[in-house]
Amino acid sequence: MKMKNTKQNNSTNAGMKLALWFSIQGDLRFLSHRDTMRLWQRVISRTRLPVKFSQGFNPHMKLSLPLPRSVGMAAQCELLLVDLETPIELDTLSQIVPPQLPDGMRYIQAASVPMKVSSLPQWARYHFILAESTPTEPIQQIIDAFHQSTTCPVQRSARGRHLERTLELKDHITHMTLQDNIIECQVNINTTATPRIDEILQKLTLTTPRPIAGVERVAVKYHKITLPG
Amino acid sequence: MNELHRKIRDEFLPVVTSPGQYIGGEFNQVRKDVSDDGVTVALGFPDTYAIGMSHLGLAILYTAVNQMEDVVAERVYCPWLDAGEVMRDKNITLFSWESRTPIREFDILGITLQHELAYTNVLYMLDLAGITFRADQRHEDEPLVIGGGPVADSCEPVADFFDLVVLGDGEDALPAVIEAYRVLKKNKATRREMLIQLARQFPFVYVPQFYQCDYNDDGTLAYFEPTIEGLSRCIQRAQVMDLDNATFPTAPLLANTESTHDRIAIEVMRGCPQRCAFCHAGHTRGKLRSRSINKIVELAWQSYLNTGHDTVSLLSLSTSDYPDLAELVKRLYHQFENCRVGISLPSLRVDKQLRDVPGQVSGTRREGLTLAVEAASGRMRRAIGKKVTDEDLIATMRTAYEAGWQKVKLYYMVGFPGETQEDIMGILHLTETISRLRREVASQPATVNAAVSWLVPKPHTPFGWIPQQSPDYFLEAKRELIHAKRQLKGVSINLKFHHTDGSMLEAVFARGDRRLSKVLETAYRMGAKFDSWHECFDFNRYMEAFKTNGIDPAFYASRQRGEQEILPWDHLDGGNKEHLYHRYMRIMKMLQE
Repeated sequence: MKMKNTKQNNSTNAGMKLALWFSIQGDLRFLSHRDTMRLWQRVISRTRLPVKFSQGFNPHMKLSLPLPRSVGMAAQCELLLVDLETPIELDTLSQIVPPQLPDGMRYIQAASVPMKVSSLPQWARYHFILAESTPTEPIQQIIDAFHQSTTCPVQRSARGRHLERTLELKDHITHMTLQDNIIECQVNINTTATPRIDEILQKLTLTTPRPIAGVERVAVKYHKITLPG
Repeated sequence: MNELHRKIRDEFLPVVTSPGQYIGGEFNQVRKDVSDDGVTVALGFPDTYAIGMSHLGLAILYTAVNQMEDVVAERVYCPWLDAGEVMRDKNITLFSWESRTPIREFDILGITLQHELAYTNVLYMLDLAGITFRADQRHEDEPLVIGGGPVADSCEPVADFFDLVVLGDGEDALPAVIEAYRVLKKNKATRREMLIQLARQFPFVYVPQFYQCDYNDDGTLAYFEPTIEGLSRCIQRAQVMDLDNATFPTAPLLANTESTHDRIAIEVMRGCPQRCAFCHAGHTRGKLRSRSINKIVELAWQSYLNTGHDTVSLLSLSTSDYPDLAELVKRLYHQFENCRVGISLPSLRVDKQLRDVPGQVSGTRREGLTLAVEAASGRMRRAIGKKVTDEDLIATMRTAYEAGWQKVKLYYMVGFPGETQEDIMGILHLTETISRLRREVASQPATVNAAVSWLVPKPHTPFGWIPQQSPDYFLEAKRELIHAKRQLKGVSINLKFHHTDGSMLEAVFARGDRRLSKVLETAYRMGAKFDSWHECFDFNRYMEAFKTNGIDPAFYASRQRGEQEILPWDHLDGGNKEHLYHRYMRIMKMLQE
């Protein structure tokens, strides 16, 4: 891996934080978050990027996927953050990363971001793709009903506990429309609680019978990290 | 996209647990198209994806077969219970991981036989694939079902389910059989013609349906002989003599989900110089062959570049017997020094050579040191041929603790012939000594995990004639060890025990004959599968299956065999029977003295 000689914007002598965007489609969407992490660890290792490792008895690569993806969800623009020991030429990534990716995963772009950058997501936009021959009229009625209602609470009980909490979908879903057999839904994300996709689909009675053939995360907005261009 | 692909995508993957294990498309996967005259091979592993993906043998065969021109090998594993249910409910046939082709449409289905408790999984795979169980009833359009692997040399309980079995090393033998199959297929040979030709052509090919046997009144074998002219009475084992030039997967598949051994595995040696009396593998893998240090380092490096794994594991039956292990570890350590790759040494035997190793093995992880002690007393170790002295063991562990190791795992066995109470309790005493030894170099004793298994007398070994101890004997030993462990203070010892019922069944099927195929089929029909998984194993189901078929499991597990008895594995090349019997006699004499 060619090291960069000049000091780059946002990078320091102590290293560089890499923000790398990728998509995950096809059957690869059935990988879990943990499996996706393991996949990236192997990819980073094969590319010989100068990745940082944690200190301690059992060192591990310093990389993260700030917004975990549910099993079965496709994604158009996922973010991977990698801490590097030394700065690198970003242009080389488009050469060395794609050959190391399995079918269904595509490298999009990479950027250098400040080492201490916040990677908290603000919102995510999803597409719920309707199954073939699903009539759109009842779906539109469900969406209209959601918009007209003043409240749409979801009960969530923690596994193994009796505590139950209520999430108000109206506070989180800022946008929901139906167009060309796709429901587009934008969900606000905060650190205390965010409705899961299965909770949204269940609440909107979109799970039985299964009118949704697939779910895709099409965009995520982070506080401080944006996809260049 | 055909109907099967659509069903898998829409009706199977979204509802099964851990769907990532069924999607295929792993990095380094091979996709090939073959002509109409080509051969399609499905390599089946009769256990879960996580275990199958860790299996080096399957990876070697996958590479060897895919190197052939106009031949493609794809993989298939056992779907877990929930996935099997979905497949039945949705009418989804068992499919290959690469192209999602129905397994029934392949020319050949190869299944590796790893251990006896995986036998019902063979039936599970055949069932999900829609393949007729019994080889002599299969139709012309069904795949040729080929068996192989470690227990192929005692395969009589499952012999009826296989068209042919390949004995010994598969990386040259299986491609040779496939090549011959290709010619026969082109010449439009019938299934029977193919099997006759393959059995005649290759000394390592066993076609069970061309051999017949009968039984004496006491249930023992009366005879076992071929029914087709030109077939050998004894099948020979295929052997790869030059490991340096043998096929090896330097671009192994990377599992999509977590696998049991998520690491680079390099086989450094084949065969074993030890010949411990209980060890089936040690007696059946043939001549000792080792890879050169240069080759091992080259293979490990290539595999690392192609996978990105962070651990290199050196595999063999007894890695500490590698001619220059210290030098090998040193070379690997230097090669991977700046890559954060650890070196792992499973299957270590304790001897003088091993004393130097713990200090040299380091890297990103210093996992627990695993040592196969087998018997706690020196008397028993000498008798069974385990060349380990207490002095070597203590010296090795002291070195390991000085080098920073904190955990150790010890393997023991109970149930040897001539075993005394002292031998059994010695397990705890030795474990305690090893744990306390760390106090000499550190403030805390070592955490020692002692895994105790129950001796399963194996075919092709000097113990092939002895009865297995009763489950009650094992349970009593377990009780006493647990009780004595509770009295210990100031040490960190975890005792783990094998399942006694499972060990008993292993003993039945390890030395069983063809009559047991009915039991397996009945047990499977009653729901038996994944029998090596505690959550799936149901001993009563098997007892019911034995009863239904009028078979007494004690006949196979706990019966002393006579010197002249025809054994169900005599025709499958193992060791020298006369030599093994003499060794057995010597062991018994040593234990009586």
